[in-house]
Amino acid sequence: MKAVKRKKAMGMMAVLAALTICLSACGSSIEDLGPGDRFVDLDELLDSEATICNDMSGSKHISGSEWRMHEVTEQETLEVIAPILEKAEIFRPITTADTYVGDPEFNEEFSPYAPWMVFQGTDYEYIVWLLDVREQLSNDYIYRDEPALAIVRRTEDGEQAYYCFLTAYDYSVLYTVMNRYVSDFDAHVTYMVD
Amino acid sequence: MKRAIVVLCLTLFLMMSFSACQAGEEPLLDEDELRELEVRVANDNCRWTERWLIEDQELIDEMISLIVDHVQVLRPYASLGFIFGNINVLLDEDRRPYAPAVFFQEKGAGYGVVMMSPGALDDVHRDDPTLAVVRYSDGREGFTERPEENWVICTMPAFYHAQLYQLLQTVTSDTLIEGVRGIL
Repeated sequence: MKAVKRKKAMGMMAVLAALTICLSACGSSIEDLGPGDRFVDLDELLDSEATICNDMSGSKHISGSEWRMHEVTEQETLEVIAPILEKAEIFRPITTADTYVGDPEFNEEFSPYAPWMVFQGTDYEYIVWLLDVREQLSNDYIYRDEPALAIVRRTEDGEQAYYCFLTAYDYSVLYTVMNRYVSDFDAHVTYMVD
Repeated sequence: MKRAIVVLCLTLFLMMSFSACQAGEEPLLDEDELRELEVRVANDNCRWTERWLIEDQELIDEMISLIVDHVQVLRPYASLGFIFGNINVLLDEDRRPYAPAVFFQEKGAGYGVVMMSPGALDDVHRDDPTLAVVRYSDGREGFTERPEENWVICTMPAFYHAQLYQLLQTVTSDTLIEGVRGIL
């Protein structure tokens, strides 16, 4: 008899627990994207035509048409970059008060240490900016543990534009890969070796 | 059976405590009260000479939800001189080009929520940027001789602050553009 009662009580508690979990899940699904969420789709990136721009000439005065865009032709490079970007976590939406994103010439610190990428898909586009890399990777930067980057995803339906965080490790790897992809980097290395 | 009841009560108690924690502190502004008031937005650097009436219920719901759920009181306004002296530090024209505000009011009485820019990514307080909330009853938006009685300096988590800021910016920009088109 006792065992039956205990089973009933346990059953009730199980139902209660399930109900709690369901309610929590419903509560969280009401909101769209929030802080800490991820919104970059790995498959979309891997299926894109990617280009990297990182003008290391240091010229802050070149016009947009003169930026040197480098098409990413090696799949291996994309396979390093894409999984890192997939891990980017949303910090907050980008607003019109944020002058970092847009024409790099508006911000002197933007260039030349601000590589950016475009991933062009069939019906979507991602734009990724690394902002001011010198600051983000500075050892005494107050937020060195969570460097920020800007990611915009555009489709016909609209645009999602967020500042996101990566771990310092991922950010460094991402920057290095993007940087290395640019031919000017090789010239720089040669110079250093000489 | 007794043990089961005790465990059940304990579970219920924990659930209630958890809900209370989730709910957080009592919101600064009352949702029901805000819903009964007329909603107007302004965006001309704290002069608020022109306020556009908002009638889009979805937009109003979104604004109220962001304000009620996420605005947290930092401190009351400290009377360090004339109100503009302090408010202008937050709304400085060079650093903070726009200060969109939303008013919930009726017959010169109500509440104002004045946004400051979300701030740069290297701001020390980037995670909880600032805004100001004012309560007024005389049509003067709290710009009285004793502003400390009306103004409260608040913060919001960066994500929701940016959402509200951009929402107000978009509304006012769209309205401005429509106005210019109307003139042309």
